[in-house]
Amino acid sequence: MPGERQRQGTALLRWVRMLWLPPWRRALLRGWRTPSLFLGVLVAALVLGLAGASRPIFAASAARASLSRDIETGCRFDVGFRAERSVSLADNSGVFGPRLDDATHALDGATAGIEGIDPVVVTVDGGEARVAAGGEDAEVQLIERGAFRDHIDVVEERPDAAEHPGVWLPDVVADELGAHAGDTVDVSLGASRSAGGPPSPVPVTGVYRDLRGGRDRHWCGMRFTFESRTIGGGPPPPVVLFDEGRIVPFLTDAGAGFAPAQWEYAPDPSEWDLPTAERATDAFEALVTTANDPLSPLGSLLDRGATTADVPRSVLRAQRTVASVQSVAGPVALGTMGVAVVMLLAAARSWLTRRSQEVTILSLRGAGPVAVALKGIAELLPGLLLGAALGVGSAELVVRLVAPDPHIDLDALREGILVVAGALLVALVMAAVVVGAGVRRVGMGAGGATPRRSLPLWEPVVLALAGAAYYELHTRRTVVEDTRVDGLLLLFPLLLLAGGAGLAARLALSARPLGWLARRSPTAAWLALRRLAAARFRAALIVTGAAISIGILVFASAISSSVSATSYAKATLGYGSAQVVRLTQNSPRPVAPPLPGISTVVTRANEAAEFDNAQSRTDVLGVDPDSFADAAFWDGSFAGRSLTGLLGLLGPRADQQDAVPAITVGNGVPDRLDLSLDGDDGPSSLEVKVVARARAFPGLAFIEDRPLVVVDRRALTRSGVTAHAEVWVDDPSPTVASRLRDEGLDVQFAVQPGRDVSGTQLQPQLSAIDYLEVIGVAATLATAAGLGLYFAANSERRQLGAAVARQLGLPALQATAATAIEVVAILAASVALGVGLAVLAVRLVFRQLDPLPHAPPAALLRYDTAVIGACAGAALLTALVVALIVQARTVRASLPELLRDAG
Amino acid sequence: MPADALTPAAAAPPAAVCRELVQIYESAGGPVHALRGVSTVIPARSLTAVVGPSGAGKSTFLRLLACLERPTVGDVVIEGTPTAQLSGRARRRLVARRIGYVFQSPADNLLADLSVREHVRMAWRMREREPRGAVAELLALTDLADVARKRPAALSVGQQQRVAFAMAMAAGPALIIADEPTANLDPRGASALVDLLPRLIDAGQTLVICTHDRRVIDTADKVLVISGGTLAAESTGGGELLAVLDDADRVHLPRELVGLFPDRRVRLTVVDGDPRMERP
Repeated sequence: MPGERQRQGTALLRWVRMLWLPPWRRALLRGWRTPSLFLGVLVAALVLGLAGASRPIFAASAARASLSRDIETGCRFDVGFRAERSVSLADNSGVFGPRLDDATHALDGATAGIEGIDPVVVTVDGGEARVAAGGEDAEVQLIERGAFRDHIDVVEERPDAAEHPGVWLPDVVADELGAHAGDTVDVSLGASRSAGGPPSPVPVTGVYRDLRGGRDRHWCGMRFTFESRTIGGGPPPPVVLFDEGRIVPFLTDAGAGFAPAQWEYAPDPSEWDLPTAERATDAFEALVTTANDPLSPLGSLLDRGATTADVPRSVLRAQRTVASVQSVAGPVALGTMGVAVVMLLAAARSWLTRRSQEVTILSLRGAGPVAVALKGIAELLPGLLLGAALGVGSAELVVRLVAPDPHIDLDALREGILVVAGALLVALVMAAVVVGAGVRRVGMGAGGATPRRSLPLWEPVVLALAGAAYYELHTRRTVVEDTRVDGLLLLFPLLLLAGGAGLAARLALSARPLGWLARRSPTAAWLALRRLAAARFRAALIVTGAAISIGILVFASAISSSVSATSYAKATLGYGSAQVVRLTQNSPRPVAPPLPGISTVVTRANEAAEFDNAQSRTDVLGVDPDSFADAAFWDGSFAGRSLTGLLGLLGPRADQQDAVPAITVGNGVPDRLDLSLDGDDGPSSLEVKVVARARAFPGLAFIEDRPLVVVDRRALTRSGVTAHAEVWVDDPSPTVASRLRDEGLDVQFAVQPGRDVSGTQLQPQLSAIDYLEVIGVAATLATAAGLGLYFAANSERRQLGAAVARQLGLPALQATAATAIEVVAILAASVALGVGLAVLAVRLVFRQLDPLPHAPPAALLRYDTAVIGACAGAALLTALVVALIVQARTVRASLPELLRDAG
Repeated sequence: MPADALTPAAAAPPAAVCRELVQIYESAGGPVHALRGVSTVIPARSLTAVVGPSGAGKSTFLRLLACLERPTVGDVVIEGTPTAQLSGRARRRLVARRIGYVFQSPADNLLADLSVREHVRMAWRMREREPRGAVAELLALTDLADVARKRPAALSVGQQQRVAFAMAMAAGPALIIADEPTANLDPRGASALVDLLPRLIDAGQTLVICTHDRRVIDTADKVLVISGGTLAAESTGGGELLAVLDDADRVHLPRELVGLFPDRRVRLTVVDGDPRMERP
């Protein structure tokens, strides 16, 4: 036994020494010497790296975008942590609550360890008061809010404002009092805060534009400080702002004992990602528990105070987004990585074939499968590592371009790199097994002719599977449920693209059509077709692969555009326009559009109209036919004619003097009806004649079975119906409301339906579908690279062919044209098949993707023509570049040299 | 070479013995009988030439002799070790350590990025650690000392083939088998290689060379004529020509003797127990 062990030890030592011999020692540098193989491995590893790394990066980006949306479209102060408590103003600490500084200090200490939140914003409410100057006075509210100075529009400011802190008057109050910066005003507290002492003189630091007309998001948590608390009610008094640290001494001097205070910790958008938000959620929840526990130090300090933390809702939405993205990204990334691993295994097999002579030499001299496999892996390793690194870099780049948030999360990047490293390890082991298993077969048989292989007819099987997937999709009500996207939505187009493109390529490139075409073609085309015929199998594979890549990109972009457009249409249709501004009942009713060119005035009478002897109810919309089209949201699918054409029918016609022309949407509306309306001064009636019917119309509510009747607004006015007036504006900008106020209108509220879409529950699914675009872009990049590399790898053969053809008398231009025709034929077929099959797949499934199938309008179909154009442009560019490169190299090539090199 | 070399009781132990080698390949058109029972002995320290028309089974014979394939029937004994029953691993180890193989195309024997010295050293080290100066001696023996640092691309094809022989000789294998080593060489390169062969024999090597080259055949100690998968004839270096008796008890005459019997009939007589063949 010792002898046996010694023998084994010696054998192992000899094996290890063998690995130090030059063929192994230099293997890392050998990979570069086979450019086509190196590039093949590079592209496969790039696809693997891109697919593996993009999944976690994209999911993190989508989660971050979801969180950002909550912060940006909602109120970021509502997302974070908020504490409210009255604070004592005098030395009677503990009677009305803690002192402001003590509470702020305690809360700052409690929140010190929480990441991703901004410094506290403290607001002290001084209550209602009166401000007087120059014999005039005005009712106001007194507020001090942290960092307010950066969030007001300054009208005037005293030059030495820093040395003389005081108050900021809103411009309406300053105008009323005739006060200016540098003046002094007398402020007297309302009865709820003061025992009725004399007014206190306060210096005016500056004048700012009244925030009731418009303000930024710093004030979003104080909506009712600036807006009416009731529908149709008057606005609250304007706000006098105190410089920081000034309100407490003022209130104390004025004899107030307490003041409500509020501490708000909002997320910092630059640091607010899902892991941070999840940690903050836990911390906030713990903080709320502590703050509400009267026995804890913080709770005893904030006794009777209220603390809230709304982080969980936004975190939940972000987590749903991640789950939705993962439902698509998981299988797609895994499938793409699987394809990449198969490509790598094919590369390993190709290495074995290309190195068969070397493998035979080494095998005959005692190198076993493991040693040969190690050599093979070492040769493939540089391309593999470089490709994977490029793949991870590309994932980062593509996510920046396509993902909803361009910020790259480092934790996700780290996870992506680990996934790619793991996949590479698996691929390497599998490649080693492939090489090791193939070593025995190489041996002495290396010199024999390789039998011509043909691929079995796989395309009909794949097409049949696509048909089965479509049937399953078609028979389901919806494919977007909860947060997850049905996997069949991904499988169906892939199967259709693979089977359809494969079959079409096989048929188009079969010998007979190519031969028939070649015989009838001029020289250059004949040469190109002969080359294609000589490499039919390879050309069919390239066309199929490229068509799948392009098809995925087109399909993903079209589905994404269609779902977005449908969601936006459904959200906007009910409101009617990009922004709807409701006017108060006291507001003047504009006759002409207040913002010419982008607005219109509409009167609504929802649920107010009856017909058919009060058996049926309908919504009535009074529109201005001249300006309605300027602002209303419209899609060609809503009716059989244009919006302008429909509106033209609403004008009074000679033969219908007695009835008002109307457009209707919905069932059950007769051609002529008497509407019973709630007029401003009591019931009224309106006889209408239906002149057109539409499938959908701006302003149509999401309520089934309640039709909409659209008439000229002037007819409603004549009937005394003016109560609910709205201004529709084709501009989602938040400044619209203030612009309308400037026009003298009294705005009750403004709605931007687009915000509903961005904040809708559909967003996770939209993000998930967007990921398909990442893979589509990746696949297209890989295809473009692969095609380029394929032509580069074959350039020597092409050079030789072109040089021989030239020697035989073929003009250089014809040779270039032949190459161009060959490349263009492959790329044009790829683009045509990819786009055509993707369009077919989209048309077949886009209705199943309708998130709210019962809400009008029906699902809209949108193609991203920019993507299709980019594919066609890239294909043309590639063809031109390849043709020019081959031409340039051919012109320089010497036939004797090429023949000698070719052996 | 003595006439009784076919018997196991020969004075010097043979380098290899082939016993009734039959090789049948399966193909789409049915089984192909590449070898139909070939028995012979490869004497140690000798040059054996294997000749015969294309498709006769020479290459199959060489592969079986080199233990690269297992025979369908029969056995190859290398230095007294029967190989038919060896495991695949043991056979590969035997091939790696005791048999050197030289391919017809010089380029097939060499690695593009190794120098001549590295080739020989690698071949030696994959068998055993080379003694000090052994590589240099081998390079000198094969007239390659001057090109020791050059890579295959810088060598003539004749030099490349000599490098292949040097690699095959490294660490003194039992058998060096070469498949038409002069076929791709120009006359000058082929002459240089043929001139090298006696030196290799003198250095103790046993060579089996499949060839059509007259100069190699003339240099050989023994010639095996393979035709139609059978050993048609055997000749020794002394000009003695031996007919072969096959498994079906048929006598195969050397081709050059067939003309002596135009009627294709032979009178066979036994005088004092000694068989004789005459024209009728």
